[in-house]
Amino acid sequence: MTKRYWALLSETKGSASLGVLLSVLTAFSAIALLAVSGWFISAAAIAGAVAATAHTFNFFTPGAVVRGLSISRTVGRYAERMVTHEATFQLITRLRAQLFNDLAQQKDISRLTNRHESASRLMQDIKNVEGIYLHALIPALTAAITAISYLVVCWMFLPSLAILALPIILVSLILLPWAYARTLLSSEEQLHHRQNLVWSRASAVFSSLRLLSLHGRLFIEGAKVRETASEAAALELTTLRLQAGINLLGQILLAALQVLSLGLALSAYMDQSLNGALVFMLLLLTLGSSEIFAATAPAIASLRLGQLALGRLETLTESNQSSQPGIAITEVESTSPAIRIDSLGYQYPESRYPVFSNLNLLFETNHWYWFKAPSGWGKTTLFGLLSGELQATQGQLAFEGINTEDLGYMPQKIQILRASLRSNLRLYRNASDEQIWQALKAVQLAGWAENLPEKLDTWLGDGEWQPSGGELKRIGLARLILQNPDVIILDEPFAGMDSQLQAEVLQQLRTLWQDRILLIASHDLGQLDSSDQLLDLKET
Amino acid sequence: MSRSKHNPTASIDQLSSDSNRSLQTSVLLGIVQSLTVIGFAWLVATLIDKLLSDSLEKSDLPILLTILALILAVRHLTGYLQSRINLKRSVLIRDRLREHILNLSFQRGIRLTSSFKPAEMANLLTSEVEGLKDYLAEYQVQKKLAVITPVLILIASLTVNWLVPLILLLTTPLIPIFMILVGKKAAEASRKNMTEMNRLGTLLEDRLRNIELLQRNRAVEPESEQLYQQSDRFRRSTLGVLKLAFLSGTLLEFFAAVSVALVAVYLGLFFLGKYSLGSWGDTLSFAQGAFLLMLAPEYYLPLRKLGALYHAKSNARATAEQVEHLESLIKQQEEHIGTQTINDFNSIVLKQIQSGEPSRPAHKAISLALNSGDSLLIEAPSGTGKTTLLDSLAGLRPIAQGSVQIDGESTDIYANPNWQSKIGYISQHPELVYGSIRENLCLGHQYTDQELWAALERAELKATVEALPSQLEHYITDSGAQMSGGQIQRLAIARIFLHRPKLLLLDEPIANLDQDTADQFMAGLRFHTEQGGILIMASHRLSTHFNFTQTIELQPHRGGSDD
Repeated sequence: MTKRYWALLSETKGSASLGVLLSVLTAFSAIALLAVSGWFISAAAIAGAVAATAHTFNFFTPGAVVRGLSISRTVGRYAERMVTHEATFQLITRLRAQLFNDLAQQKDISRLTNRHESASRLMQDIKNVEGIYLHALIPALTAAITAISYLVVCWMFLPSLAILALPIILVSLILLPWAYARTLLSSEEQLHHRQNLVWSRASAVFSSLRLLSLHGRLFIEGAKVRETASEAAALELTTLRLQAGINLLGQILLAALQVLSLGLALSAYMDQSLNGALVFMLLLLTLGSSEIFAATAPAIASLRLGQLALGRLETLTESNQSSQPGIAITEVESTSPAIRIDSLGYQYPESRYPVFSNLNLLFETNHWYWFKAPSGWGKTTLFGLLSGELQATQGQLAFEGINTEDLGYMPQKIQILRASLRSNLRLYRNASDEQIWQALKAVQLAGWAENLPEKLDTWLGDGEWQPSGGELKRIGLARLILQNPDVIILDEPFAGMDSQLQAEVLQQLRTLWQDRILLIASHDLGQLDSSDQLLDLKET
Repeated sequence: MSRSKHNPTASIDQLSSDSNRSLQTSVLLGIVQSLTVIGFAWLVATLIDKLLSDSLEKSDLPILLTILALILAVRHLTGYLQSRINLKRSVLIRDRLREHILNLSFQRGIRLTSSFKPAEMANLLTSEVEGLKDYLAEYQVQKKLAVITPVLILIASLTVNWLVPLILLLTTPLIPIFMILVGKKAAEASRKNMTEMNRLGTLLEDRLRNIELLQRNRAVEPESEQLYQQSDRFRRSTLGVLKLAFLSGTLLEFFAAVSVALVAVYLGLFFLGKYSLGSWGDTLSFAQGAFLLMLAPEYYLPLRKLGALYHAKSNARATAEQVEHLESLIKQQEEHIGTQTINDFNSIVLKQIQSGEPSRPAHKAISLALNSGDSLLIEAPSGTGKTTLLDSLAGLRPIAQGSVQIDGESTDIYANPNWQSKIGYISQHPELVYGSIRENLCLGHQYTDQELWAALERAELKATVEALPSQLEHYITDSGAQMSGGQIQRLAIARIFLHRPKLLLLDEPIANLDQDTADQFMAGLRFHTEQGGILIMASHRLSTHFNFTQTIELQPHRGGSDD
């Protein structure tokens, strides 16, 4: 179990322990209800049978006890459920936010490819974590406390039952759950892997409907999905059957305990060492306790599932730690801001060749640098290194007189949050509406934004208002205007704009950003100024 | 079919009706279990009776205990068998449902994408179908047992007394009445909960997709806080649903307790000799009384079990809704699937073609003729349906209006495999198959390694693939991890070089490429038309490296739609 889980559990210590207390109380009420009513009915019957004592028998006290227990069982169960669910949901809510934060803070994030899976884990897998407290800790603790109390009561009335019950209880509370956990350990992990595979295959098929239909492969690939799913189902069936088998074993053991308790109690009664009413009480006590004991093995299953889920969730925040040691950007004090690149190289861990190596470049302030590089040269990698998202595998990268934080990077693909236009532009920075409108004007988007149904409050993104390619680029530029950094990197900032619009936007940007270090990669190099530098990277 | 009330889980129940036999067996085993409960109660009651009348002999003990052990053994064994049958049934039906969903969605083909996203379909096939586990394994059986078991217990109690069954019977209607009252509220709460869950899911998905943006703008922490807030709203609404579910459970328990208490009071007064109403004779032995008292709570137990499975039912309802949505999409229109044979052709004539749904075509009708070696550029503002048109020409969706003539002969091209085998199509976001690079190139055809490498070289992908550890066998999973957009595009191009289609359809193929690569790509297309191929391309961006023989501009269709 992870440290994180225990830390979070101890944060909700109060309600978590209250939950355990209520659960034990409810279990006790339920068992006592059975036992006391059993004793009461038989005692009453005995009293009735011996007519002389019928009038002296006190019906009221036990009657009140039974009613009290019945109420405390019903109310206790309701309270227990509410308290335990509340406690575990609070834990889950915190866990989700923490995991998201850790996941999103990771280095080298562009290599995080299984994002959809991560999202679904933070929704689905986390549900299994609920089970650790709710379906494992609570029933297990309750069963343990019940077992001890059961043995103590047996010892008081019928020591021989306590001695014989002990091994049965030990087996059903420890050995069987252990076996249960063992069988689950390997198959659950396999099953989960298969189920993930089904998801990936299915989503691949549905995102390639055109390709597959055209090549008549749709049903073939679909059959593969189903086959994988059937394999997973077969595995699931085997696991569940095994569990059912172990359950049966547990039930039979407990049934043996029940028969044993009745047999021993009856013999004791005949030996005159136990009174008649207690026979029935002990039987019902055993019946009630058995129900609680039977919950232990499935509880262990919940524990395992929860642990596995926690493990998988933890790997979300670890999987991306790149194994290769990288070279960090060095910050150097200087009065003339510049970025110096010395024999820089980068190689992806899974690739056999570096993207580039021995790269030497110098970028100085008050300059705009235009990149001309063939596709596949590694421009995006270089920008990743400059923005600190990747770490170089060779050479040196120094920021002289510039804070590495003071860099704004507009990638080729502009990302849009499913949020309002305002939030998309501000991105949690302090920016007034006035500043936002100014930025929009600079990138020629003010008119567009004015015409949106709810202006700055219009929601953008998936399933909402979807800006066109050129609009997206200009949203990216407006973000940078609001950020106002010293170093600006633009990757294909003008794609999707016609040349007139491009010239207008560029002119605005020149007045705003003339005094910065600005790197642009663009396939359209018709807008170069005399002061601009062209870097033809084919030659390096 | 004239039932006024729609069964919300109809689509799933229908699928499972084929497995009715296993359901019946399972119910039968459930009945056997109820009988063991009745037997157990009878045995214990008899035992107590004997105990009280001092007629129990030590020699009776082994027999009594053996019968007890047998009853318990039968109960647990039938329980085990029942769960085995239920599990198998549940697995089987889920498998069948997956097949059903796949078939439905493939019938709908590419038009599915307007209603479901790939991830949604994958979810439907996996977690949603998995979510039916309890519904199929337990709920369906328990639903029947919740009726049968109480009847059995009524009959059993009726053999000794008529008033106790009457008490049980009279208290029964109270339960559904309260359940309906709570259920109404619960449905509302659970809808709200669904909304909150979807919001949280969308938020998570969206923010994870855009982590780079958050990191670059140091917005991860404030976003985590936002996420916590939404997660907390979801928590509260979930608790709201559970509160009602637990309340209904508590109510059931309460009614059960009240009825049992009523029975106990009646029995107590009877024994004290206050009256002798309700019994078949004048007397009621203690054994009979204990028997009735032990059966009373069992009467309510099946209903309580059913109530505890509330989540199974609501999961099933949600999944059934999705499946029905799919089914309704299929039913909307009849389709003429083309089967004509198409030989090597030299001309395509489009006559008054409109694409999209017939009720609302995406663009105004177009007519044109293309011969071998011709190339057509489609210019269209976004949203005028150029992708829809290309999909229709590829036979992936029915044509809304007009006809297509191949070599002068009117031809049904929709879903016509003979037509599709002659087409190459590179869509805006080139698609990949879950498999190796080799499988992605071959797609069911056979090519030599030499041919594959040659195609990769022409598509300028050879160096990239060579750098991969397992080269052609490199596995591409999860929508092309480790490959850039440009590389995926080139893989699609390499595929075209291998398959050599007569008609090439291109949807914005150079939108994501830099100028050099775009120029190279367009120059490569000349080869296609020079060899007698026909080319249709939709693009915003132009290249000087290719001269199209024809250009048309798609006009948005405004007349037919009502919005």
